[in-house]
Amino acid sequence: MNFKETVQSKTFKGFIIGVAFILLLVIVFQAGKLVGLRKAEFSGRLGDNYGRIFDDGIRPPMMIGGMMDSLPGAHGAVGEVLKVSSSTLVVAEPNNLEKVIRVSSTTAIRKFRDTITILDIKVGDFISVLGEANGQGEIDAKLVRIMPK
Amino acid sequence: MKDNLDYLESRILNQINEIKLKRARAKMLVGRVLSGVSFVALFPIFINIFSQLQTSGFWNYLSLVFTDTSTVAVYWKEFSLSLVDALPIVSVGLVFALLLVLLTSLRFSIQDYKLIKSYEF
Repeated sequence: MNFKETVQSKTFKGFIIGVAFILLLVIVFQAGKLVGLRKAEFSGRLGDNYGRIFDDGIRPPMMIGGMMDSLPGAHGAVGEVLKVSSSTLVVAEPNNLEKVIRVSSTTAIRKFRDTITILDIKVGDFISVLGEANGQGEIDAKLVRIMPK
Repeated sequence: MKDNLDYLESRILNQINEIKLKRARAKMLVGRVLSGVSFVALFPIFINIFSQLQTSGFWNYLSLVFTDTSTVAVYWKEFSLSLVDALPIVSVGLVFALLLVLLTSLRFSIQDYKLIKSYEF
């Protein structure tokens, strides 16, 4: 069997498919590891800073979240506003987890087509937040949008 | 002598065909049961996925593409990661696993059905 026949054979085709499949598996596994690590880091920071953030004297939970699917997301929040201050919001997500959103001068806060300020947000408003976790278990918001109820 | 050999040959071939037919029937039954079970199991999982997508805020994040397209384009990395965070990965994986079982078992059932029909004729 010469080189050309080998390359055109079914076995060679199967080998290429096998390699492509393993590559896809590795890429997906790596992506999963990355997302899981970020979620776990955020969950850890939130747990470490729980008492400081919520200032209620209650001991922080041993671990916030549990299985992978219930670990808090570290890149945003969706839920009802519980508290508003000059630079932070506390949001309660539908799974009853509370997140602190830190707002800065670069955060875009929007309601319908208008750009508003943090002080225009009221307790009880339903918001979506896009951002990034910081080292204190909070989310630095890039975008906050008030959603219609 | 020649008649005896012909008779023996036809008996052996008939027995081989009977064994093949029995195996095809058994495989078809297993295929039908598997495809039925996997089809029925898909419904509660789909309902669970929709409910989880609602709770996780997936649709709220997705809607930001339409309301704040330019901002989402700038912060596409945070947007993609928030969508991935909100996706119920385990349930989605289960759906695909069940779909694979359903399609594979359907394929084998039809192949065995054709084989059985060819033997019966």
